[in-house]
Amino acid sequence: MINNRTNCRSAISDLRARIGQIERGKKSTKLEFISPSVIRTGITELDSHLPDGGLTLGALHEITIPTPADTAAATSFCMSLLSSLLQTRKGIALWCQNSDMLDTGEIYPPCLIQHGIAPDRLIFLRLKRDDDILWAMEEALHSHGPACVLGEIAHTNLTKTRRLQTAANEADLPAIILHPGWQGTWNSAAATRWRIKTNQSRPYGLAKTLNEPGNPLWQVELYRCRRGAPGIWKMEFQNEKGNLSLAAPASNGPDNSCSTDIA
Amino acid sequence: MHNKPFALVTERHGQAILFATNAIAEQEGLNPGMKLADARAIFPKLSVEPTQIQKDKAMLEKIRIWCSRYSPWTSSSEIQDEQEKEKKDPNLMLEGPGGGGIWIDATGCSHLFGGEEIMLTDLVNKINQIGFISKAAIAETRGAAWALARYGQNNQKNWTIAPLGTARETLAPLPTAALRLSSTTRLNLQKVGLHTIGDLLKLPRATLSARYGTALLKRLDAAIGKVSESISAVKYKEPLYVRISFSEPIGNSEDFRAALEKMLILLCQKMESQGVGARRLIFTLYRVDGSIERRLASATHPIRDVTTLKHLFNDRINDIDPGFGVEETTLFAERTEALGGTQAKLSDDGKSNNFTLLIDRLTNRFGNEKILSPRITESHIPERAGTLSSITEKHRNTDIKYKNIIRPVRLLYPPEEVETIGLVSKLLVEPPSVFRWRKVLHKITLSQGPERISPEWWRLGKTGTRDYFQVEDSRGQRLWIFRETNQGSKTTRWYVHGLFS
Repeated sequence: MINNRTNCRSAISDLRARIGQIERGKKSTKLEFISPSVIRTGITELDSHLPDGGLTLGALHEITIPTPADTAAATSFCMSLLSSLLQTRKGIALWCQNSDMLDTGEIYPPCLIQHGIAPDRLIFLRLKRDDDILWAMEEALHSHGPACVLGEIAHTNLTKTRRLQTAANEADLPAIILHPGWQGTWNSAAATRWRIKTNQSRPYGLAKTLNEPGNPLWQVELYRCRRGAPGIWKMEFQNEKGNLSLAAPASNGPDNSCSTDIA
Repeated sequence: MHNKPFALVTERHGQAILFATNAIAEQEGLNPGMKLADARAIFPKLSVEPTQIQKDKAMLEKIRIWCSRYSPWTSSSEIQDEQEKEKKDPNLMLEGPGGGGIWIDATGCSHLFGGEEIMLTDLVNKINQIGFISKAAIAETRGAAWALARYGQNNQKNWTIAPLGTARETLAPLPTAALRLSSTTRLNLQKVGLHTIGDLLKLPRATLSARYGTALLKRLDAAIGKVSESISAVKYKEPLYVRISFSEPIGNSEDFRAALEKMLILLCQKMESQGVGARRLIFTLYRVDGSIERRLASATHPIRDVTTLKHLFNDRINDIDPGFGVEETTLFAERTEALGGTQAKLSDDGKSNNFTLLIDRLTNRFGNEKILSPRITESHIPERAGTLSSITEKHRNTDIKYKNIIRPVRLLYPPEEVETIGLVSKLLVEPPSVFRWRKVLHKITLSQGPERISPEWWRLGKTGTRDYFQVEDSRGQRLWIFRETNQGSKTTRWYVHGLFS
């Protein structure tokens, strides 16, 4: 029975890989067949939800920051993805920043260590215009040099994202766009689109008694997923371990029990 | 100038001093080191020129290069002035005009000219024709040759040859100055009646070194051949420079590319023979009307591969304005670095190499100040502890573990002051309950702190003591805020410094 099921699973993943290759217009090679190239997030529920069992490597992924207050949460989510990627693959990641968007703060290197990223495996490129960033990202993908290409972009459009998606596909490298949603949205050719919202943390134990913030808690929404279904998860960033995990369901009432809008 | 008294003048301690004199001036009793005023008193018609050490050095270097016709192994001994002397070991320094000279390692070379005598005659004559008076000597050691050329009994042809194994005897009657000693040492020797090298050779070595230091013995031993002194020759290097002239002016970017490639092939051959790779290339185009267009490309590591180097210029050829046409192009490897012999093709680690090439391309397009790498420094001050700085700066990240202390994901440079609203607790352990930051009210529900961070007293700055709090507002935004108290004023200000995930 169990054997049957695993057989089924492998057959399905086999077919998926083939379809994926047809979609990408590549000839099938044995190697790719065995291990579909994905970033595993390390969260079983999330990985199994995604069509390839993780974030597809040769694809564009978009992370939207819905409000300025969510900037750090989305950045941290981005870093968690990057961390899982860099742990399994060689190379250095390129992170392109828009120097006009730095009012939301600069990436603070010590937090890279907390996310399990060695500082020397990340290089930042700070440019003024979105188009330069898109150029640099595409160029980086074509060069096959970096392990992953990230870009913080305010504006882009369908055509430009399609170019990136194609470049990522050809290079079999992931491209990630992090963008402030309040500055505008667009139709995108990205394989997955995410929206990260920060939530009130749920301290427990001593922290709860002392009224201290607990582990960061986010609402992670996959609002578009090619070949897959959208989904929403509550996730916690484990400060001590430096990784993401699914948050346990709230034990005492609804999440926003104590939120009162005073603005 | 050869037939009348002439001197070069330099300034020392605010006085004009004779730096060098010609032979006729010396016959009149004028010597280097004399005050100009005294010299003028002895010989009022003395003509003088200011000393230009740098130009002298450059000229000497030119003559040295010319001398490599006699032997590939040549070097110039330096001319030194007073200021330089003070920086180096004073006992080994020579001042005044005598220091400058050229050493030629003639071992195995003289027979090419028909013997040592003919070679020296030829050398002295040829330098005479250029316009310099020279003295030459051949001896078994550098020191002995130096001494004989300057203090030896020259024949009419202005050269001396000391046969092999006679250094001791030949040097003995020469004055101590012939040992390349500083003027102080020479003076000290004179005071006790030691005038010749022979006098020194008679004395026990221990006494000499005790009284005059090891420098004297060093020179003495080098001169008589007890220790060897080698010539560090300067090898001629072919300049890494390529040029193409066109019979018809060229004007489109395809032609520029073709020209560049052709020059790169030549340049890479030159670089290979020298075992170097290019770090910076200058591609210059000369227009028909005499104006010049330049393109620079730099690399983070030495490169000697034509395709790779061509790639560096890729985005920078199209915008060249040809004007009325370009008649000549040059390529110059301005900065080079050693690059192993056969490693012309890229190393086997393709990926990391691709990455360095990518960085080079980005650098050439955007400038290297745009490419940053994270730096972690051992410091308590958050702004100093972590920065993004240009990859060109060398830095080793410290191994500080940020496992136990939680730091924000994003940091604000500089921290932004917030407007506290209502009563702020005077207690040191409490952050404000409500504050306004960027026009948004933040009602604090949870907080952790304070974490006190004192300024690093060894750094000058105006920062006061900071008490950091990790706070979470009612919307779930987690911020890093701090209270700064300056010891002088009693004011307390609150700032947002970072954003937690």
